[in-house]
Amino acid sequence: MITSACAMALMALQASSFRAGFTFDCGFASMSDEKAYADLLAEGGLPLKLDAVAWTGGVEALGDVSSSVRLRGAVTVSRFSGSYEENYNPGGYILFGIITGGLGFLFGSPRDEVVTLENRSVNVEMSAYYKLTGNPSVSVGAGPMLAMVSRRIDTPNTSTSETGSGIGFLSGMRIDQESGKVLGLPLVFGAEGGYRVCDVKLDGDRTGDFSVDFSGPYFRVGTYLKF
Amino acid sequence: MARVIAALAGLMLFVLAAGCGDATYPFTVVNDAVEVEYTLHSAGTVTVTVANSAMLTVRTLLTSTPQDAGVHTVVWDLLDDGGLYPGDGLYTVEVYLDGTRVSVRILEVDRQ
Repeated sequence: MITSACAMALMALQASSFRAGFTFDCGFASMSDEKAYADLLAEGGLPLKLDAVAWTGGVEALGDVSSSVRLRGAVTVSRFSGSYEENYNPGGYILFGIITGGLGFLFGSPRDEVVTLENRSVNVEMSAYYKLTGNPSVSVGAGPMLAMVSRRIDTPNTSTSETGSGIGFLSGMRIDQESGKVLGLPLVFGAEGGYRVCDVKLDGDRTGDFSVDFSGPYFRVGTYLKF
Repeated sequence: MARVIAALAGLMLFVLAAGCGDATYPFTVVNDAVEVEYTLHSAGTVTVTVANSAMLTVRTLLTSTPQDAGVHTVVWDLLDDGGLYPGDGLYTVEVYLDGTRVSVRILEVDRQ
């Protein structure tokens, strides 16, 4: 998988039109098991507040290998978290503020995070797109992704962590628009909307069927330099 | 001036004393066998399980046991069904009455 991604990245690099840049996306991740666990904790009196969306950031390279085919390779990191917070300890907060000469009041948090939960996924993605138009370039495409996920729960006295890895799939439609120059190189803005399938079961005999599921629709924006 | 300083110091001590007490979390921190109390509002068959943070049942404490309405207790020795310590972390003790979950108690197990 990684070899294929490298091969595609090399093809993209050798392409006639190559661009690389940073991307940022928000996805409406399913996270069905995590939501079920949050519901269970809420039933027990611990209302864990989960993020509404999963955030992903990454670096990616795109290359046109022909007039109608565009390849994409990317390494991204997705994150979905949650926490249970309690009101601040007034004594400790005031003491902290006094000791820090007032800076603690300015920059300290008056909330106490009791339980924190974090799901993370490091993804190696590759996609092939078919170009529908020129500039702005509209293309549709799809491709597989390798996801290495981790799930971590921290409580006041304990910390548990599990990992897993699996294969996912991405499909989407993107639009790229060349606009201006930076350091003499053309600047390209891109946006993509699509659907991600990435449901990874955690490893180990104490995780049962629990899976970290980043599947769902996503919207991505990116800024690239064209070489 | 000295009285003002003394009054401010007293106020500060009061605030610190009021705020620095033990935290009261919505779960119980345990490091040894724990007795879990639950209330049944009607009689029926009761199953009590303990699940880890991946919602995997690690211990079954009661299986389809007839019980009357009222307050009951069950003891968990912090071991799984195989007699092994399942590790630190958050655990949920779930009480099922006639197949329906009627109570969830959260434990933070910190034995290591």
